[in-house]
Amino acid sequence: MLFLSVLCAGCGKADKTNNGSGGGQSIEKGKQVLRLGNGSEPEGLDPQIVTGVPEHFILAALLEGLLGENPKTLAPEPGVAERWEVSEDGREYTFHFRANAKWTNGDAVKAGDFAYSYERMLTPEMATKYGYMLHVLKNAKGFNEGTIKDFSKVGVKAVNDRTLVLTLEEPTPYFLQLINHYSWYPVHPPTIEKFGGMTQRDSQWTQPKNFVGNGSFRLKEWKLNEHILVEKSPTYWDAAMVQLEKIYFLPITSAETEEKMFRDGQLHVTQTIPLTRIEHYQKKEPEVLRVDPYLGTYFYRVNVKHKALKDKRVRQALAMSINRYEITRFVMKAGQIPAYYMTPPDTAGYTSKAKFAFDPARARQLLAEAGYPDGRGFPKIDIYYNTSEAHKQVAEALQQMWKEILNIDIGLFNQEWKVYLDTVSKIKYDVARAGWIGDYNDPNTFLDMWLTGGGNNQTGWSNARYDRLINEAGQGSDSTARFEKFQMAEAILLDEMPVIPIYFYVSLSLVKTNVRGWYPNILDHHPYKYIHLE
Amino acid sequence: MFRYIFKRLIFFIPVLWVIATITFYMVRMAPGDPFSDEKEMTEEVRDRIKAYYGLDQPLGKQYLIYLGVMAKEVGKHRVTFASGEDTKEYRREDVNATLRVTATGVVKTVQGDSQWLTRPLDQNATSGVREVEVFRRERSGLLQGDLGPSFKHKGKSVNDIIRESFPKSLELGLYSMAIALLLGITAGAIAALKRNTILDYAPMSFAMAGICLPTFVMGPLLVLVFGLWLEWFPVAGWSAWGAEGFFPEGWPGDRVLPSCTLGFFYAAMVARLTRGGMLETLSQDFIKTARAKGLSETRVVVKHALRGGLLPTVSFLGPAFAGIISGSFVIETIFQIPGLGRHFIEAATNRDYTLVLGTVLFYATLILMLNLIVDILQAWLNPRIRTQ
Repeated sequence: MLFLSVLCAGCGKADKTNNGSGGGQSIEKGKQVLRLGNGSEPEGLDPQIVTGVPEHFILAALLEGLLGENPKTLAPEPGVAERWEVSEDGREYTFHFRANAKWTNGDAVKAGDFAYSYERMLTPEMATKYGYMLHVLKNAKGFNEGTIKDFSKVGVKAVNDRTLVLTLEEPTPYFLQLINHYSWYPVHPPTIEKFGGMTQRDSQWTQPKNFVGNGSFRLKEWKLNEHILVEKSPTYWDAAMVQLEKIYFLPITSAETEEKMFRDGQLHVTQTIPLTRIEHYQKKEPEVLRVDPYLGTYFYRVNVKHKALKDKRVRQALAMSINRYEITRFVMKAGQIPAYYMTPPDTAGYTSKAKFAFDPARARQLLAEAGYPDGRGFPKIDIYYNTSEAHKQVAEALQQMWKEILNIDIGLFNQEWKVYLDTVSKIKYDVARAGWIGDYNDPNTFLDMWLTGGGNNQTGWSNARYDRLINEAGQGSDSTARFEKFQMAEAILLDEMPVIPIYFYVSLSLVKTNVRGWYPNILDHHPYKYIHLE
Repeated sequence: MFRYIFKRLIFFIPVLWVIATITFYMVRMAPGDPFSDEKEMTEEVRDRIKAYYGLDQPLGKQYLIYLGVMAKEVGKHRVTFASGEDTKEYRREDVNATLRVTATGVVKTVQGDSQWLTRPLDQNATSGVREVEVFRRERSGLLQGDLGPSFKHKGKSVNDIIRESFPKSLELGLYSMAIALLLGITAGAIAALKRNTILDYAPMSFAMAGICLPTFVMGPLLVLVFGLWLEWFPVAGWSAWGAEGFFPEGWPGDRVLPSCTLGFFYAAMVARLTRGGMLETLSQDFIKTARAKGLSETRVVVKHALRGGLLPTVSFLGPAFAGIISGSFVIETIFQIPGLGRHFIEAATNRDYTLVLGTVLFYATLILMLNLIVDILQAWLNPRIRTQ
């Protein structure tokens, strides 16, 4: 350190004019350049291949779907389509494209481009992970699974260059929310064709020199593990509204580093905060700390085929003997909400009426009824979780609570991420930690995953009545009736308890006070055209 | 001498081949799937993605394709003909060619020199839609210098990734090495010469602390003091050269803290090795002779003692240098540096087979090269080795 001070003698002044400390990566004062911490390096920039949250933050700048969304309420707003109509029966949506919607190369955005994009998304050879998001379209599932070969049978029709008609399998009340997901974003067909055609998975079209988008920003630089730089697109139809000149997305995997860079003045917004720093911000700098409700649930999966866990009374006992208040208050610390049901409260206006409670006496009684009075004879079970300090702390808390209240022995089994995914997918666990972030603002995204044999079920649980209710609720158009069905379904889920809800996520971030237009909302979506720096 | 170097270079081939083979099979034996994530996909989607990357082939065949001995199908795409349509002409930007394909499956390269093949797909009689799959056969693997596409970073090849990230690790490595040698050799030599005095104990205690203090403690400590309290240097990041000036003009200040963190760690080792080597050399007869001849102490130390005393350091430096310039996961994560070190670890945790193989082979080549250089250097430093 002595050496450092010598090296630095005389250079301490030069950087004081700069914001914070030296170097060229700091926030530039007086310029509309936003610097965002963005979790991890995106898997790619092809909206039809990627699946993550960091990718969302970048793609939302580069591409625009049929509709935009209100930055506060997420209500649909005109996007590429300047207006839209819904048929009486709620199955047919007609979108009228604005004349001045343009790709960054100057081409007009046509209805046919969307049809091409949806065909690409659903083509079996393309093998998209998010293809199911489009299954609400008529015959889309069949086409995606290869049983229907002809795309013209799918409910996507470009009537002319500026009119797109989407026909749905069933009336889908959350449809206009759903199409704001990036799996519904368009790609520029000539560019896709130029770089290997529709089904090329690792196509070069996403490279900065090739990328053609239709969003409010265009891709300027993509440096692996360093940053992605986008700049304001002059061809965007609403360019007058866009105040930011550039946005840097920095893939920072370490929460500690991200928080230090924020403190150092290198970032406007972070994606997360280290657990250990939350208290500091709560007490000292509450103005930059954002703790907002988020559409996500942290829960535990239970292997319902396990010899002891197959009895639902045991599962209920486990659920009732977790003191969620202590976990959210002392482990997570950031204002997470204890979860006594699966769907986060007020998801599109739905809050589960059924719930359970923290009830040690009842839990002990249930365990005794299941044949394990005071935990006697209960086999040792393991909690599986992937490597992470927070998951470990929650698992340890549960281990202790279950020992104290139910007097049962719990082992902790820490697995590396890919191994953990494999374990859960093959249901080779007893109890496993899990989390689910909603894809769209509707209870369906939290409840349809527990359908029999569903890819994300992964508990072995199956209930015919539940399946029927969810299928019916996914289709109705009357939201009161649908929510009634979701209520009944969720009550079944909570009674059977194949999953144990622990807490509802909050989105945690640090936002500099000069960032305007960054509003809290449940999906953590922040349309960049409404953001500016002061 | 050249014969010796040539022989050593030839020997690289079997070594790299063995490493490639072992790594190829080991990484595929690891549990977990390169394409899995929290959202489960259907078996069919998984199978198709695997087929796209050639993972549906038998392992032996995959291996031969990876080596570049066997040809693989690339640039696979479909051409669809509506009823009444018979030929289509289009451009393929990736190989700079224009192709003309007929509905009967004849493909001709109108412009460019790539060779294409076709395969008819199911013909839909009712709608009159016909489809032809067009592809190229190409031997492209290790022998051709192609490390393949990364599974995780879509649209980037392993060659791209190494080309992009290695210069950053190299730059950082060179600064760190300079710091390590400057501090380490000086401290080690002084300690040996002033044995059992404060000038020995003080730097050696520091060196011991440097070895014991891992970089993930040292790094954040330096960041806290010089980044956040004193605000002399950026806490993290890797800005381009010539960006906003620092010290000297145009030189980005974000290099300082990571270079020091990594440099101090190696300086500690170099100091201890140099001290040991020097002590041993200083006790030898030829040093006594040199002193007896009346040579100045400076000349004895610099010309005779240091040359012998550096031998252990030099043999340590070969592999250490390979390690230091190929990047450190810890440093690169703490300081948010887009270097190669992060790819080593992340490729393994992502089960990105091609990237794991690529980085391992790259690292192996570096070590082999540097060991060769070390051997040559040692021969120059030590006449006894030269004759062997």
